[in-house]
Amino acid sequence: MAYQADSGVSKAWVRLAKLGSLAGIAWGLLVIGSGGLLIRKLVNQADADAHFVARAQAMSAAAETVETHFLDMEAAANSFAATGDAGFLQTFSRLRLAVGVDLNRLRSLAGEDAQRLQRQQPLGEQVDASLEPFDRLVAERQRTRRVPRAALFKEAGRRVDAMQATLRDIEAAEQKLIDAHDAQRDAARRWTKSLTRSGTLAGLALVMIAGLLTHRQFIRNFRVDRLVQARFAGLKHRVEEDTFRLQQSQQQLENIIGSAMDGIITVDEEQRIVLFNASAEEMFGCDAAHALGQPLEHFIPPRFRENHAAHVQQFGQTGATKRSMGALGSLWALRSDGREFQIEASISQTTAAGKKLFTVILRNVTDRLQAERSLREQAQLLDLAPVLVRDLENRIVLWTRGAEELYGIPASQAMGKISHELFATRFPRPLGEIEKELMETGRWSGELLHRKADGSTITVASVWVLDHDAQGKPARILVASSDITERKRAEERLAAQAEALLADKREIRKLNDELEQRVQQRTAQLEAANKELEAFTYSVSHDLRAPLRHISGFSKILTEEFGPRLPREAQRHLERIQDGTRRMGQLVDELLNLARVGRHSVARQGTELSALVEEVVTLLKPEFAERRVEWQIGKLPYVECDAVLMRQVFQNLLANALKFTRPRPQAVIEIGHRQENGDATVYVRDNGVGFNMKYVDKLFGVFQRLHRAEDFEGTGIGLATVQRIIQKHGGRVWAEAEPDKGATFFFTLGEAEPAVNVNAGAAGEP
Amino acid sequence: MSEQPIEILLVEDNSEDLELTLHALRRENLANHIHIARDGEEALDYIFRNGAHARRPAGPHPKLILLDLKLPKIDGMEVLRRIKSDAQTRTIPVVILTSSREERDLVSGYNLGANSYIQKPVDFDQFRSTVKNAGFYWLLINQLPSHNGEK
Repeated sequence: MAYQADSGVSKAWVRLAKLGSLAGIAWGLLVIGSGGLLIRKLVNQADADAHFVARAQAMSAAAETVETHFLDMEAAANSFAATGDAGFLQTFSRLRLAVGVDLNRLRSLAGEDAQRLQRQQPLGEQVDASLEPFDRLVAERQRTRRVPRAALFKEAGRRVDAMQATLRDIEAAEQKLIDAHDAQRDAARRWTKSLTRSGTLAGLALVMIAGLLTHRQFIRNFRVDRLVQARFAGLKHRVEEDTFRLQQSQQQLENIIGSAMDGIITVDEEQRIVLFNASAEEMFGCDAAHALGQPLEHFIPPRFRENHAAHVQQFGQTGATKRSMGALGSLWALRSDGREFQIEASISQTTAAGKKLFTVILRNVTDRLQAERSLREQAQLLDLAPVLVRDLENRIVLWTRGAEELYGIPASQAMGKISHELFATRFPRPLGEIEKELMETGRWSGELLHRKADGSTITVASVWVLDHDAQGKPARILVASSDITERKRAEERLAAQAEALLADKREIRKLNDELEQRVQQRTAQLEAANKELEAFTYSVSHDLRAPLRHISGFSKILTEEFGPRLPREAQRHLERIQDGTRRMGQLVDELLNLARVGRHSVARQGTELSALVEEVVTLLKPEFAERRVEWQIGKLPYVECDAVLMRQVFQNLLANALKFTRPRPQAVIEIGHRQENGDATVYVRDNGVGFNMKYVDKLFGVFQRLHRAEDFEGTGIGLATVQRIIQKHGGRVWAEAEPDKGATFFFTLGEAEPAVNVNAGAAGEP
Repeated sequence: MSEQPIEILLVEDNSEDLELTLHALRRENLANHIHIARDGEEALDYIFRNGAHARRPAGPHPKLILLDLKLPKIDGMEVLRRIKSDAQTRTIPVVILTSSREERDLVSGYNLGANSYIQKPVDFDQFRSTVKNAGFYWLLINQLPSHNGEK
């Protein structure tokens, strides 16, 4: 206002000065002739100059403002891109508008000035071009909410230079104009001085007035000068500051890229890596120095390379819109050590210096995917378990598929219901007690009766666990139940079975007792029967033998006393009677013998078998007195046996041997023993008629005979007796033979049979 | 016969056995001084002068008793037991002459003090030689205390 008023006053003065000047000129023409015209010209010139300078200064200032606003806008854009701070975004938007306004002002100041218009002419495009990367940078940041790629930052700085050069041109051109005006003004001042010197007092006064006016103008010009210089210095300072800030923000950006947790890789159109940050280094196990210049394929598993190439090509085409950015989703990547890992990547495409750049931001998601997978699996598994969660009012807030399956109640019908009502739960003890325990210990487990959807009742083993919220206050109750109805039933069945078993056992014991009783009864009966048998045997032995003896005796007497008087045929008949009675006597005796052996208990005593054999041989002597018999009696062991029974054994075996060697001119009977598996096996061998081994089974049977009675007499009881005696000793008897080549009988005597006695050899020959 | 001292008391119930035994003894001339008892009671009566023999004159005891076991009224074992349990008669040799080969009889016979146990062989020749041997042994070879049988 003051300036305008001052300007108004100044105009009045100028007008007055003009009037004064006209008077002065008229007077001056008089005084100094032609000088007045010059002064007028000078004054006019000064006036025009003042106007010109003011315009130039305005132009310069406007150009400067464009730059200032632009630089501020640039700083705001970078800051926003780097930090995402909304304050920066506001500043950016405001300054971006201001730059447009500045441009318009610059254009209007140029007016019709062709030179100026020409100077400004590239500015519009340059500013647009310079603004565009910043727009992109900001939009990128807004879209991704991440720090955009470094390339974008770099790109954004690049276009500004041309614009700045143009602006500087404009400022310099205007400055030049101002400088030129200054030179003219100095000249005008010199002219005025010389005029003043040759002027009159009035003229001097007028000149002084004019000079005064001029001086005022000068002062004003000087002020503008100073203002311009101060503005200039300020601008310079700001440029320096902004440059510093830019450097700082670039540094910051580099730091951000370097320290980003995600791997950041930028490739050029040929897919060669031009940026490879620290995270990428770590991720791929490859430092940037090696990675840079390498094709990206280097880090893609071979099986995906073809796919990748196709994708890149497609992206290059479809991503024609400059800011297109494609999410690549989950992919496989290849470390330099050959291991593969899963990544999540996003790609963006930018253009720098007319060339496309692709920036991939990737993240190793192997662990995360695995964790997600196992979580998912856990959740799926958990869902299978009959689990529910209820709040403290017992309202069901979680209902698994397992629970649905167990109770036959879908989640839609279970959620929000009071669980105890839903199941018509029957508790083993008052619910209050159970809840008290749950609240105190955080846990309860027990068996409950639950009703299913179909109305049936099941027994469940239920575990309740109290869950607390973040503040540690009880919040929910986790309930895991399993159906143990079958188990319960099985247990009951088992118990019933056990009871039945017990009853069975009692029954068995009773039966056993009865059986025992019966056994005792039977034993008593058996003993009675045995006694009866003994009595019978006794009776047979006594009563059967007596009549035989009588027949034998009287027939003998008949033969002896009346024989000579009897016809020959009667005598032969009597002989037959004698033979018959003798045979029958023998039969009875042997049968009784066998029966007695059966009842006889074995009384073992140390026995010299050799002596026993010699005794028997002596006993049998009458039977071979008129034959040639070679006895080969080897050393026999000293054994624990029943000597009476053993004598019977040898008697039967040796008698047999004698009997069946009868057809031989020279009988050879060998008695010996051999050790087999620690057992002494005694044998009796003869060179008699032998027998066919196919009948060997019949050999030891009672009344079994392998020879005809006409050939070899016998009862068929002897070997049966031998077998019974040997068996009573716990031994074994067997035979080997061949028809016409003799027979060998072997026997062992079982356990109580000790080693060969040293005295065995001392027994003398018979 | 009754005047002469009795040398053998033959206790036998079976007439056939009796006849065969006597036949055997007779053949060896041992049958002259024989008294025959047909059951156990008669045998004891004779030895201890009871019943029918109560008035038998005092004299020496028989030199030999041939005793069958299976006897009517009082069996042979009881006869043996009474003879051997009486001090007066204990020294009389008693030879058990029986059909039985029962070990039980044999053992109890010897336990009761029988001097011999002879099973009657079925074969008459053997029977005869057995009876002969026993008679010879106990009557002619065996020495008894001089007061034997003296009252």
